[in-house]
Amino acid sequence: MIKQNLNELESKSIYIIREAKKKFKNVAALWSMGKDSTTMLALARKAFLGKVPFPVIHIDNGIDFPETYAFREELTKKWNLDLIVAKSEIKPELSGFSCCGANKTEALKKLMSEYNFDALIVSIRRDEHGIRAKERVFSPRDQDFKWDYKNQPEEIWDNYTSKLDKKGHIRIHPLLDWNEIDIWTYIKKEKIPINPLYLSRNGYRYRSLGCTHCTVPIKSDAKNINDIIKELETTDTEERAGREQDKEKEYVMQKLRSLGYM
Amino acid sequence: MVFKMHVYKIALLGNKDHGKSTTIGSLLMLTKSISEARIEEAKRISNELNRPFEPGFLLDSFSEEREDAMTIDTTRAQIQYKGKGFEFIDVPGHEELIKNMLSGAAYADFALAIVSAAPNEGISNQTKRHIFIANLIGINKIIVAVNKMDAVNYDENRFNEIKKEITDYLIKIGVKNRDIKFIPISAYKGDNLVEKSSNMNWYNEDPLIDLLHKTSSKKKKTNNKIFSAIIQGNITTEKGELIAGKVISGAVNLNDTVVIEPDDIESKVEILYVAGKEKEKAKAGNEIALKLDKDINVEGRVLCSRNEEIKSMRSLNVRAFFVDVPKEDKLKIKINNNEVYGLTKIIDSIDTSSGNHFSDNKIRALEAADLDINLDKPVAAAKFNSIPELGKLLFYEEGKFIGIGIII
Repeated sequence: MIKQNLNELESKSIYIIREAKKKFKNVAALWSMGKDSTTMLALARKAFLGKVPFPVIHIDNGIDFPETYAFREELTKKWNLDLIVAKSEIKPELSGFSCCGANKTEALKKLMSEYNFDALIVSIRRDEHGIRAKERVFSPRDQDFKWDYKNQPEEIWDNYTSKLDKKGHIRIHPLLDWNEIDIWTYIKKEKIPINPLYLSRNGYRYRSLGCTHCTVPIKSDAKNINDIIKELETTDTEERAGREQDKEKEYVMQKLRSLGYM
Repeated sequence: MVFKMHVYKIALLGNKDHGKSTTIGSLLMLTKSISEARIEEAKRISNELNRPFEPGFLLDSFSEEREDAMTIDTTRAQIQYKGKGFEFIDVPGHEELIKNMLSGAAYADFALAIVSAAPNEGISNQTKRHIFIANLIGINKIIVAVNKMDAVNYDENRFNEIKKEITDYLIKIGVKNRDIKFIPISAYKGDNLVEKSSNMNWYNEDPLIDLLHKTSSKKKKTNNKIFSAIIQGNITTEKGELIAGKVISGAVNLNDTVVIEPDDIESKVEILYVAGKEKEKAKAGNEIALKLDKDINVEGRVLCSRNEEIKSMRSLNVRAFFVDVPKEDKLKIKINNNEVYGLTKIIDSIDTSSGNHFSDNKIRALEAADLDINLDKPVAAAKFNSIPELGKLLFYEEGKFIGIGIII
C-alpha cells in the first residue's frame, strides 16, 4: 500500500470541502463515527478554522456497537457538532446488502427531503473497492438517489460540477485520493480521536466498522495507531474483508451505488 | 516523520485491444502491488463470466466493462517500485467517452502509450488524438511501449517502423525528441516489463518499470520567483470572514504586499492561515485563508507579487480542443475561478491525428483550433507556457462542457 504525500492530500481535501460549502446552499455530511468520516470532519475543521459549518448526519439503525454510540456523544460534544440522527429500521427478514440498501437509503431519503439538503459529503475512498475507483469528486444523484455511472460529468483541472438534477443532490467525496494507510498516518499525525473498536482487545479488532449484525473482527494485536500502521504495511487482505454485504457478486457495489446506497 | 511520497500520475493511452489493461494488470502483479485477495476475486469473477483470467480484469470494475470487455471510465492502479509510487490513469478509448479521457488525463505527470505491433494494428488515429490532447494540456514526456512483439516474432524492423511513424508525428505536434522514449514489449508474455527480455537482444535499454522510474522526476517547479494564488472565495469561519485560496507558485509571507489582479490594487497580508493553522509563510500547493488590509471583493481574483507574466487579460490567444462543435461564437468560459463570456474567432484549424492544418477555418469536433477570444470582462491570467495553472480554460455552451483551451 502506497503512503502518499499527506500535505498534498490534505490541501486537495480542504479545497474540495470549501468548494462544496461555496457552491451549494444546504450542505451536510454523513458521519458513521468511522475513521474516514471522522478524518473528514477533522479536515472540515481545518478548512473553516474551527467548528464544522454544516450538519453532520448519523444514519442510526439502532444496532451499532455501544462503543460507537459513546464515541458519537463524546466527539459531538468536544467538537460542538450539529448532529442529526436519522433513525432507520432493521427489517429482520433482510440481511447483507438488501438490509443496508433498504433501510439506510430510506432513512436518508426522508431526511434529505425534510431538510432540503442539496449536497452530501461522503467519505469514500477509491482504494476501498474497484467500483469506488470510478467515482467523481462531485457526483450527481437523481431524486431516486440513482448514480448514472455511464454518464458522469467531466472533472478537469479542479473544476467540479454544480449542475443539479432538479430534485437530486450532489455527493461530495473529499477523500477519494486517500489510501487506507494515509488515513491512519494522518490520524496519528493530527491526533484525531478514533472509535476504540479499531484497537485490539482480546486478540481481535475491527479494521472496517459497520453495525453489529454484519461486521466481523480480524485477528490482531494492534493496540495503538502505530501498531495499526505497521500492520497495514505488511497485510495482504482487503480492508472490507470483514463486511458481509461486500462479499456478494462483484458488481453488487455498483448496483448499490446506482440505487443510492452510499 | 516525513510524508513525502509524491505519487507520479501516468496517463495511459492507446486502444483497448492493444493491451493497456494487460500491461498494467501484469505490472500490478509483478511488482506485488496488488493483494492476493483482489487477484482471487478477479479470478472468481472471470470464472463466473466464463472467460479465461486476464490480468486486465484487475482493473475493469464496472459489470459492463467486464462482461463487454470495454472500459467506460477512468480506472486508477497504484504501484510502488524502488521508492517511488506510480498511479496509472487508464482512460477509455472510445470517442463518445473523450470527456472521461480528459477528466483522467488532466492530472497526469507524463504519458505511457501502448501501441500494438501486430499486423494491421499499429498506432491508431484515436491514440494520436489522445497524444495530441495530452501534449496540449502540458504532458510533454511520453513513453511509447510497442506491444505484442510476440505476435511479430520480436522483429526489430517492425519496431523501428512504428517508432519512425510515431516520432515523425510527435515532432510535428511539438514534442521534443529528448522527451520521447520507445520500448518493445509483450505484456502477455512478460517481455521487457520488469526484466530485460531474452527474446529481443537488439534492445539494449531498460525494461518498462525502470523506464517509468527514470522518467518520474519532480514536476518542474512553476516559476518559483513569482508568487501567485487563485482566490477560491470568501469563507465564514470561527476566526471571522476570511479569503480562501490556493497558492499556485512561489511563496508569500505575513505582512507582504501583494497585487490583486486584474484590478492592479496593492494590499498587505494581515493574517495568514495554512491548512487551518496560523503561519508566517505559505508556499505553492498550500491551501490558505487570509485577511488583507483592503476590504474589497476578491472573488475570481489572483493575488501575486509584481511580475511580468500575470496580467489583466481581456483578449486572449488560445489553442483549443473541442469535444463538440460550438453552435455560436459567444461561449461561456471558466478561467481561474471566473465564469465569463467570450466571443471567439477562429484563426486556424488543426487535424489532431496528423498535426496538419485544415485549409478551411472551421472548428471540428475532436480536433484542435487556434482562436482569438474577447472576454466580456478582464481576468487575471498568464500564458500556459509561463504559469500553466493560470493559463487554462474550459468552454461551455447551453450548460454543457464542450472543450478545453490553453493560452498561447
